[in-house]
Amino acid sequence: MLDKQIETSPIRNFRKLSLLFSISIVFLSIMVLLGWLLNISVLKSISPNWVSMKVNTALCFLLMGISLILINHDKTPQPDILRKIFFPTIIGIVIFTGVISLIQYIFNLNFGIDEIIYKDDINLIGTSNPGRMAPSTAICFILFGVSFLFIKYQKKWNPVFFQSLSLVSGTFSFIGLMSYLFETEKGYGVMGFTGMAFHTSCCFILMTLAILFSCPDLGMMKPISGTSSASKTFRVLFPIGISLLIGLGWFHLKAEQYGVFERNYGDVFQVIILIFVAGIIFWISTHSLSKKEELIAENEQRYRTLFNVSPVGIMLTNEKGIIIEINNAISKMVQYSRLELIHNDVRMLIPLENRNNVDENIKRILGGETLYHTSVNKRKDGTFCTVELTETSFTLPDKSIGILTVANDITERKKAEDELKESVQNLSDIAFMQSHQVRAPIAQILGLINLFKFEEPNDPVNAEILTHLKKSANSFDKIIYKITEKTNVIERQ
Amino acid sequence: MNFKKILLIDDSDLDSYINKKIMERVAFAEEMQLFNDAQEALHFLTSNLDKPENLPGLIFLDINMPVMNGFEFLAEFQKLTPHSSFICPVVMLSSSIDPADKERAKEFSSVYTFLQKPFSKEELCHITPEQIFAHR
Repeated sequence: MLDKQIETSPIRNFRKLSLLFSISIVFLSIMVLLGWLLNISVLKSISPNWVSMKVNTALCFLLMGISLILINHDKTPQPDILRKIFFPTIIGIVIFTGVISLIQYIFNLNFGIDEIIYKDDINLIGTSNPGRMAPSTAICFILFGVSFLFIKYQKKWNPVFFQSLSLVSGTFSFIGLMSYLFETEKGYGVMGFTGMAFHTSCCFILMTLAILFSCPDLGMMKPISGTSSASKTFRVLFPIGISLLIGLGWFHLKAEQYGVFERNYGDVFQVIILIFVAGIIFWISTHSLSKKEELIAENEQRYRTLFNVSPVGIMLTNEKGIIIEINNAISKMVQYSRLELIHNDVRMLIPLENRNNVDENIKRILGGETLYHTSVNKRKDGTFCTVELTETSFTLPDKSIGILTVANDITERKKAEDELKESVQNLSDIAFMQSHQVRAPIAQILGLINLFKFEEPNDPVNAEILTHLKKSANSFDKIIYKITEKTNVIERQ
Repeated sequence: MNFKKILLIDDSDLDSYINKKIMERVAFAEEMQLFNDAQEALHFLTSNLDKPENLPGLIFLDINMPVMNGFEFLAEFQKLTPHSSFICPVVMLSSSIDPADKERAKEFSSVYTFLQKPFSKEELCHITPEQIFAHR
């Protein structure tokens, strides 16, 4: 499900093409088999002067084509009967046929299997042994069979390996196809052995493409099926370049055959055209790449500017706490330059007594937690700043896990908060003084006045009370002084 | 009718002097024992639990005191009651006008009333042994 969601448009198109080529192989092989069954020469060999595709070759194509269709049709896990019985049997038959045909050629043997299904034509064109597939065809089937097995049954080896096998086979068949186009018999039949038929070459080229396109996100196909401009350029220019070169070669040949120009002029003409075509291809790819690079550089500059002008501090560290990148706000916060911080341990910013917390925090963040906390950092000049941090883990470009720290300098805010707390405390102290301490001497004064004997002024108790009154008044005065002091502090704040 | 013995716990000597003088004028109690440290008073009560003749019939307790304040005293004082037959109501005294003190005092079952300093003779006359007995 996830694979389907992230599958890009080029990858989907490659898979569709792979399916289309596989269906074409099946169709062509059925046509050839019908040709043998109904004795239709054009289906067997296209041209009367060309080698025919043998029955066993057509059957091998049919089996391989069906297998490729089944691979491409459904990417979900296939049933065991297909995976464990059908595919190994089919590929086993194809490889076996190729190996037996080769052994027969090498040791000049005849096991009698070449015409076991259908007798070859009486008029054998380009055929050394009736009904036997060409040696190059046999090699191609062996290579394709092995390549197919690698796609289906192994995950450990580099996919480039099985793709290379398909490419080697594709090159063999391409040589065969070119031999037909450029009318050189040596290409499709060597050392007097049977040559590769025209439609066999075509089927093998289709098979090469079907195998390569069936896994567009693997190995050597990965950079081609990407969404980058380089991938797009390749996808457009490579088929155009190949077609132009083939077309040019063919035009050169025909022009010479019809005497349009002599061979030497033809070569000069071909070289000029080649330089022209290659120049255009190079220019287009260079232009496309440089445009892309400019865009990347522009984007990078844009994000770097955003990163640097952000008033919030941003710092990236690796899983060990080594600083990878910082923005200007961090640099300003701790008074170290970027170069002084990069590649250094983040612990250099933490006061000694708090460094033990760093390991614990890193462990929690790497465990998937997002931390919101306040920390005291040491500046270059030895002073401290209070920062509010949000820290979370993220994947670095090299796929390792790093830590993203967003820091907000709250030193001034903290100072203001502390001052506010102190003011509140002072106000609270004043409130306490007023309700408790101010009231105490007043209560005493009132109590003493209650005790004062106004009707007997000369009573010695009165003198005692007056002394106490003086003490209470002094005490009251001291408290008033304290309150004034605290009020002044609040006013200053 | 006067109390036989009362305890006056207040860290301020002057407050104790004023309170004592007023009580003497209305002949509030036959004997007044003064403590300017709540811990000392608690110690006195603890060590005299088995001597009922030494124990007071009423305690006047100031709230704001150093070392052990009035509420801390009350918390410890209430622990004594379950272990003995000694039951003694407490009159809380404070020069504070903070209503929170009054509210907090209500949380203690042994508190009989709350008086603000300086209390008057009239306020004192409302506290009689009969009323205290009824409160128990």
